[in-house]
Amino acid sequence: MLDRTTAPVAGKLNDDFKLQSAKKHPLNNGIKFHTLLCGNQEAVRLELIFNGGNWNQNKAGASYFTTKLLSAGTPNYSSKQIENILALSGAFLELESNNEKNTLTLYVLAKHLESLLPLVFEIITQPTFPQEELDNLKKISLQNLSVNLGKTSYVASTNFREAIFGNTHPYGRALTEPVISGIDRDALVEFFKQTFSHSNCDIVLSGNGSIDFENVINKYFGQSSWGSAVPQLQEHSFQYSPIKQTVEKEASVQSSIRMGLPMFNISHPDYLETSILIEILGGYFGSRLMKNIREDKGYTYGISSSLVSMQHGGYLVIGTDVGCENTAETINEIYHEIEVLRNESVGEEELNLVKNYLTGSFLNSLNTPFALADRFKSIYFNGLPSNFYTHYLQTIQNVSAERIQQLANQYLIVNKFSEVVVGKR
Amino acid sequence: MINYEQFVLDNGLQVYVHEDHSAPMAVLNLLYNVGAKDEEEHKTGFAHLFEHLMFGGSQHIGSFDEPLQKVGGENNAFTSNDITNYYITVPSNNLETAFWLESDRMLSLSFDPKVLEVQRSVVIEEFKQRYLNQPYGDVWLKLRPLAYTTHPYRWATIGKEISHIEEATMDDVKAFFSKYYIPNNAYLVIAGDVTLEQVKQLCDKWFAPISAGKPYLRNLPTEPLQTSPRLLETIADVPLNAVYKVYHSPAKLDADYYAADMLSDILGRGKSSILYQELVKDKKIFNSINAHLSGATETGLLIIEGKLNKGISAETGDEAIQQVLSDFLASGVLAEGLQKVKNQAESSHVFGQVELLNRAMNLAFAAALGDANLVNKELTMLNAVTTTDVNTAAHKILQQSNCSTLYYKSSAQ
Repeated sequence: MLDRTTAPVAGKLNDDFKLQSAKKHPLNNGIKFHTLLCGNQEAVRLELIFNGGNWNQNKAGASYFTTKLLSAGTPNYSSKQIENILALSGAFLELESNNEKNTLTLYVLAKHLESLLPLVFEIITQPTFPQEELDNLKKISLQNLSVNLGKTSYVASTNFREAIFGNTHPYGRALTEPVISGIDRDALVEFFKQTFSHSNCDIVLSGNGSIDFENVINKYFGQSSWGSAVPQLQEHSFQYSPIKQTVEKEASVQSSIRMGLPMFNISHPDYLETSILIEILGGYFGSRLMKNIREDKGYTYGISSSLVSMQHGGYLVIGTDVGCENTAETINEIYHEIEVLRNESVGEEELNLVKNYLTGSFLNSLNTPFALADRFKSIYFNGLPSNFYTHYLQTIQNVSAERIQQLANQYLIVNKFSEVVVGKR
Repeated sequence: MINYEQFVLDNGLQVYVHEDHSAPMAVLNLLYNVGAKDEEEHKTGFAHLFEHLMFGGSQHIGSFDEPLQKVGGENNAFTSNDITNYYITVPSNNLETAFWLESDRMLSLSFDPKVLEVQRSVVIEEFKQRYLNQPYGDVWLKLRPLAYTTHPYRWATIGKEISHIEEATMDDVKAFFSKYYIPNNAYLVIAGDVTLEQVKQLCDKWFAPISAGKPYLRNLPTEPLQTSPRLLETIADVPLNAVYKVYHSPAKLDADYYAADMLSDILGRGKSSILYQELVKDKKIFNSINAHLSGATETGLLIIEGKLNKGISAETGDEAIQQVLSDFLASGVLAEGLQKVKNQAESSHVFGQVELLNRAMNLAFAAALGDANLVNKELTMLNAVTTTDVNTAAHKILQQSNCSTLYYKSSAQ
């Protein structure tokens, strides 16, 4: 008779794991070109990454609008022609501006890659930023903002980041109506000049294909000096003092809650162990917060906590959307779960479960060349050692319940928490 | 190309094995052939609520998630109008834990009243979060009953209304389980670092002892042919007027499905599409617009949806869309326009196979449609579509008499 009550014997999780590392190929002009080649599909992701972003802009919104309008026209192509050429090759172009970087990402079948590179080169070296395209994008952005401002979750998240970093800091300042309205073409031209150049660029190619990628990329991006930008790093700081904010939305049926405080980033020696603490609190389906707020009380569809790491800082955020009538009790219960982590040591069974879950989910997260490239970028752009993830897996296995409790007491300081509620408190 | 082997257990469970030894991971994907369309019309939202209950403990195992997390596994599930799909990824040396857990909940659930009570609340919060507390969130709650008068696609997976979820009883749960959650109504895909022999042994051990149930023979009402245009207006606290136009379109297995798919892409996939170029870029009437198929198994929808620029009425937007469509019908699709969307589709197809879990799911979806090898035939079928096929499909589908239109109006305007 089959015994269904006992779990099958568990195998050991792979601890002699080696992360496939990126290969570096300096191009003729000095650009650092990195490849992560694996997988069975002849498909690639090409990323041109420029050091810039919100952190290095002189005018709020400049990074965002410059990046989005790179493909809005060049001397040889209109925006419509650019979209058509890309689509005819079945390619997908993403233009993204984030806190510290401006990235052009091209998803394309390997067989079509080379034919698109002259166009991509023109986009990053000679964008014309037509006034009409800027006006239309500003209008659309303002309207999208008005839609987003109707979402309690959007308002709560942007207000929370502002509560942490302040509304003049690059991490705290949102794309508000005055920011969007204040953008002009000169700001784009200036940001473009100070950001897009070969000496401020890394290229990452992941995927696979029977192509000499190094040769092809060198041919189109590595032959000459292009662009005038030199690498730069602006200085920004913020003064934090906790705030408790409620934005009343009469018509809401749920409140969006965000709470937390400034933290360190991935480069800090306590980051990895603290990330395990935050996982226990609210990082996975079986976390303390999910068990309490969702699986015991049924107040929410989901609740989570995460340690967000940027290049020059980080923060802890706990977030959930709950029925309005349960807002106050949910906040109390969140503080209660933090108190428990500070006052009681995590049981051995729970700690082992989290360790194995994190290990398995990390291994599983590496199953595509694109995911491997993302891991590489985290290490590379944060200046971390190449054995960082081996160290991560060891840290998971070695962390003790005492250490988790110590970190909870050191970092989960509830009287320094900010709280933002959008809906009804 | 997704390679696979298949076999069937005596109890009717169909098993597919896709080997890929490039990483020491495995996927167990179990698809039950039941979705929101199988619900009774006064008990809607039940298939999805039931999915939540599948995580609340089974006959011999108190918790589904914990034993899996303990061996490094992750899992989730989703419900659509057509199917309910459960998936697990786990380090391959712990694959048997996934078999143990997944087979026990096919055998029987714990039917714990507290689990039902809590998950009713969780699903109600999900209803609020996704459909009520979002601008435009309730669009499909309004569009489905407009487009479908008879077929059970007329309600959304989350259900028609919250009261249906509140009223679900344990007797409903038990009846649903014994009717649909049986091995002969399911498709199991094992993928990754596994072997056929290993999977056969594990299936024999864990799934073969489960008895077959009474076969579920689906017999849904067919949607009558729409013969005149339908229009619904609604007003809500949103900043922009919006227009939704949905046309009945072929079912997944119909001969002209891929022609309809290419048609929707030509009209509204991405920034190079006709609707986007004409109405967002040139005429600047719309803030955003796109077109796509609903992807449903049975009689589907071709959906055109767009938000208007501030101050422009839904009526003006609708007229502009109809002008683009009638110009398109008059001129027909050009060879280059078709080649473009074929290339986009090929690209999506290849990128969609990069991830092991996607391959496993795609095999399961195809198997549930009746032929797992459809995953490998898709590109050939796409490439066989001609401009004549697209034009024929366009004339058949893009008729006002075949269209339901929703004006979603801003109360501020």
